[in-house]
Amino acid sequence: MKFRIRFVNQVVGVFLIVALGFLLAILISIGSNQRWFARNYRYYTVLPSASGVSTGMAITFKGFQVGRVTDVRLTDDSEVHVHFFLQDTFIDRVWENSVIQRVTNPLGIGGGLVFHQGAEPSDPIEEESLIPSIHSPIGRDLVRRNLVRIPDQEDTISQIIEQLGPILANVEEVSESLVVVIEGIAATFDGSGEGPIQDLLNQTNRLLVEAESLIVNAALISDNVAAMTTEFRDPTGIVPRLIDPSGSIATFLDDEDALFLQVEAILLGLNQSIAEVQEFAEFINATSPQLMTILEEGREALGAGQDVMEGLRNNPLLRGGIPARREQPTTVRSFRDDGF
Amino acid sequence: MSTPGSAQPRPGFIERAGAAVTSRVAIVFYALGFFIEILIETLRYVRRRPAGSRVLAMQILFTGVEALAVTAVLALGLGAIIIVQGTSLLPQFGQQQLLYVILITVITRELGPILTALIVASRSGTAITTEIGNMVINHEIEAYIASGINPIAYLVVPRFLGVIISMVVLNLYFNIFGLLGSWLISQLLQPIEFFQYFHGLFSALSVIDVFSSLVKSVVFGAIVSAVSTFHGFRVERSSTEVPQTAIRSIGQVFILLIIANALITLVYYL
Repeated sequence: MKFRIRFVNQVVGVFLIVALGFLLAILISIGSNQRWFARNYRYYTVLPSASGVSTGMAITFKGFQVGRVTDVRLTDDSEVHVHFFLQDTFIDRVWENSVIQRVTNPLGIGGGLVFHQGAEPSDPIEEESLIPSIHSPIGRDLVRRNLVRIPDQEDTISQIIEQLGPILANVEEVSESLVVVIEGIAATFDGSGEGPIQDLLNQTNRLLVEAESLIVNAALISDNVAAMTTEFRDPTGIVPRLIDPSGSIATFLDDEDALFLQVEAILLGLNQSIAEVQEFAEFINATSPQLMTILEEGREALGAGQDVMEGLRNNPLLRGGIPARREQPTTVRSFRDDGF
Repeated sequence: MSTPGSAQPRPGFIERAGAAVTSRVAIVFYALGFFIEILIETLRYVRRRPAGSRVLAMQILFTGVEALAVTAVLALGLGAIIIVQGTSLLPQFGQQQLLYVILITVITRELGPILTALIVASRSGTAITTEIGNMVINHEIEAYIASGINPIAYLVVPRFLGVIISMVVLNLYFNIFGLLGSWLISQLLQPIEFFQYFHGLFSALSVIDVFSSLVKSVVFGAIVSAVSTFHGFRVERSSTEVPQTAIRSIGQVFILLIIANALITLVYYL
């Protein structure tokens, strides 16, 4: 028989006892490491928010765990009370004016609650009492009066964040300023803005409108000048002939007013004709009502004639129209008709 | 109504589906009754200091002691891999302390119980089904009944208790080898100071973790033994049924183990 089978009870007994021994050892090790039998001193703090804080979270002091969060509550006054305990081995360091700081990490790891010791040694703070948060007015006042020891941040990420904070604040201010400037520029170009730039733009706009009309006039003048220049270039043109010493103008000016008198006579004739035309026009105006009456009567007569013609056309006796008139040959024959 | 001599008409789809569902439900209720019977007989077994204690010891020997080597190797390998990977990766993020949390989560809470259960199911579950199935074929069960011996009390309960006890103890050994023994292996690759390691480990390990792991072992042991014995008794007359039943048994055990593991883990995190 095999050894195992023969001593099955012993083998199984050892198998079970060793396992139970390890289980007991593990439980005792857990208890000793987690301080099941040690005294814990309970305190609480008030935080602005419970985000990043959870039950079981470690409380550290100079990187060492000195306690643990036991409860996080929202009170009737909407305050976040964080209850925690500090280990008995550490209680001698819990001096007056100590504060609690919540450290958060944007990566979601490495955050927690940090205990900062009061500056002056004293008896331990009474159990179940408040250790203020560094974010509370009391905590800020203690820090401002240097009654608490705040070591430099040892966490690299926290240091970076601490340096990034002012930079981001400056960037935010610059961004806000840029937004204001851009809005002002947009309003100025939109015409809804105010200030010297807007006045300058309005004046510029008016000057541009005036300049545009001037440019149109200048273009006309330029066209005239161009035409005149063309005339000047033509030796047979009207301008050289006009300004020629023996030209028309000179002749016109040197004929002892003969041409002028003729022109005057023509003008007088024209004036007289115009006067007659005016009289004729006045006569026409005076007779226009009569003409209108005649025209109206004529129109009515034409309408009546049309009705008559319509009646005639519809007359059954005349339907089929007027038959073609047949020429009756004459019976009187001339001599020329017969084979002349 | 069919006339004598004529062929029976083939039942319709709905009729066949209804028959299948009825059959399944009947099997489920039968299995439930079988499990309750096991629990009742287990209580009687504990109270009357049974004559079948040697069967229990033998079951623990076969299921627990003989599976210790496989369990130890698996736990050592798994723990060493976690330590080596953790000590090389986690310091890059400044999160070395998470090594212990990962070790406990993987070995104690999750993989320890389920891997132990899979080992036991593979080794002992199939063996139990095969053994009882062969006993049914050889009419040994009928002989027990004829002799006035309750086969559940004499055959099933020792196996039920033996598998549960073995599972719990093997899970403890898995944790011991996985959490403590792997430290020895890690010394060859990534040395960690002894006190630092165990201080961090036991600071991160909680009683709830241990309790959760033990509860899983008890539930898994009950599943493996109950399902294996149930399928063993379902063998009817042919020896060719035995391997088929064993395969069906191990499949159901795996599925039930995974479901139970998920449910217990959910309860743990609620």
